[in-house]
Amino acid sequence: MEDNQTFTILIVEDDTELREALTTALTYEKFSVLAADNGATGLGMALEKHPDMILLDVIMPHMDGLTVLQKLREDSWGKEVPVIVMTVLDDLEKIAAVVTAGGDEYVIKSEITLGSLVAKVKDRLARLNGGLQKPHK
Amino acid sequence: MNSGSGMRALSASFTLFFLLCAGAYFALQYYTVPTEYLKDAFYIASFAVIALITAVFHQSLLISMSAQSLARHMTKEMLIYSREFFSELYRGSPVPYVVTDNDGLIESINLAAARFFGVSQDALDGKNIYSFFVEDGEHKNATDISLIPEYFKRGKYVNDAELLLRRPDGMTRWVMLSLFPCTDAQGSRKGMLTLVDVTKQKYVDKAKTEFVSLASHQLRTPISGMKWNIELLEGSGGLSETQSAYITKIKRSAERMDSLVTDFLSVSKLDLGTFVPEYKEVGMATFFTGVADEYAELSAHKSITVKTAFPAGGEMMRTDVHLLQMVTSNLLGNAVKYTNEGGTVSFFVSTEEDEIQIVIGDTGIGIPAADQEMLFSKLFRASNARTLVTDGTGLGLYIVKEAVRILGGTISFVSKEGEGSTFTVVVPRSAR
Repeated sequence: MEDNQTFTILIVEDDTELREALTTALTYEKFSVLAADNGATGLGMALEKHPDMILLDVIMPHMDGLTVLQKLREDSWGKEVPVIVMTVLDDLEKIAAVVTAGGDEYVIKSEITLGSLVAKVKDRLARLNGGLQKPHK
Repeated sequence: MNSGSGMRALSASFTLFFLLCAGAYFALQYYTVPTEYLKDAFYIASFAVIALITAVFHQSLLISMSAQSLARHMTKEMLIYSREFFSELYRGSPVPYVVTDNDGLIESINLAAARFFGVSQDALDGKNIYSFFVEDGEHKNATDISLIPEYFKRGKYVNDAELLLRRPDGMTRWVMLSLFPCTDAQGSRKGMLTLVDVTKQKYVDKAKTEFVSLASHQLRTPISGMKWNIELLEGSGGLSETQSAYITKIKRSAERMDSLVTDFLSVSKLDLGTFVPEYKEVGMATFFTGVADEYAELSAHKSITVKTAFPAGGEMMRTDVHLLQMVTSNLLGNAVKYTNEGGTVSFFVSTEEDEIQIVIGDTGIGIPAADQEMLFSKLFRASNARTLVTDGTGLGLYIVKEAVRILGGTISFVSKEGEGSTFTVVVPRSAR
């Protein structure tokens, strides 16, 4: 059952350790967390559950992050959802242009601490919603 | 030899004449002869002797003349033979040879070259050899093709230049080009080129480097996994002091691994030539202070004094931030790493016209004279570095050298074992 007071974050990341660490950290911050371990499942979950933010890995099986992002933006709801793309350095050149063009952010997984990533999530949500309380419908 | 046969006939007649005179003389001996006849016989004999001498002399003249012509003939034969021999060597050599004129226009190619180009032996006559070389868009580090015709015209040798060549059928191959100028019989300058196909080696090299790159990237994910979980562990509370200490050690190891992987990735990028510099305007003071801050903790821990001097606040430079970061961070890191407790490190940046001069000095262990030549080689660590500071890959200075080269700068150092080292890097202030 969804708690209407807090935001829902969807994590799409194929590496188990990273996905679980992120889930733990975000749950600790009182967010409601959904997780998918591949791009196809992640896209399905996003379109079905309409999370408030998506943390999206790039290199994943079944469907890579950039394809998920592209398909997401083709959806009427998906067009608006804030996404933070997570990458390791080699795909940086490929994604930097794509991501920033769409107004999204990207972080380099191997260079950012968990704490900073969580802070970024909170910061973005707060800016978009005027605070960390989900507005009542 | 008409004169020869005439001479021979003459000599023969004189010899015959002498024999007749000699015969007559002896005949006269037998039969008593009046004195007048003896006088005549004497004159005839002298004449005959002279004739004989002439004949003998002429024979030797003839012999030497024959010997000379025989020698000339033999030399000519040998020359023809050796020319044919060397022609055959050139023609049949497994190494592609190309002969050009002073402007690089092809005059001849051997069989191996014809095979290499995929054409018949005369198909390339008159074409400019340099027109077959192409810039490799990926590898900005490959030899500059445009320099070679210049070197050649100035009479310089070109040795083992690695270049990409496009055959008439469109296929590209990597070659090692050597070129040396020579002169032909008429005194015109010619060029002799050898082309060795190194495409396979190049691909093997590339595959190796790509593997290092792939492996290093794969390693980044579990390293992030470790670091993030360590963070959660540290934040989880209720840890004993011993547990905290262990966690700190795990964290340090993870960070070391991360730094190694970063180095491997840098090296493989530089080796593959896939590093594409991105030039940006950056504030000098901010940039260099940032680098110095990286080592603030370590230098404080070792009680090392770090003296800095950077250009004033507003001064800007145009450079690739990543590359310059690699250079200064590695050099400063080395200075702090190889200096003992209580030592001094200096980090001075100044500008002169369109150049930035970065001088990083230390009072550390220094570099032994014997190791100084190899210092910038991959995986090289000086003998004293290896024994006194076990942590190090030997990649740092290789990365620094390559990064400086891509930035279009120069690097030099002075060092004395036991006293310290000073590295000087000069880079353009506003790159391209």
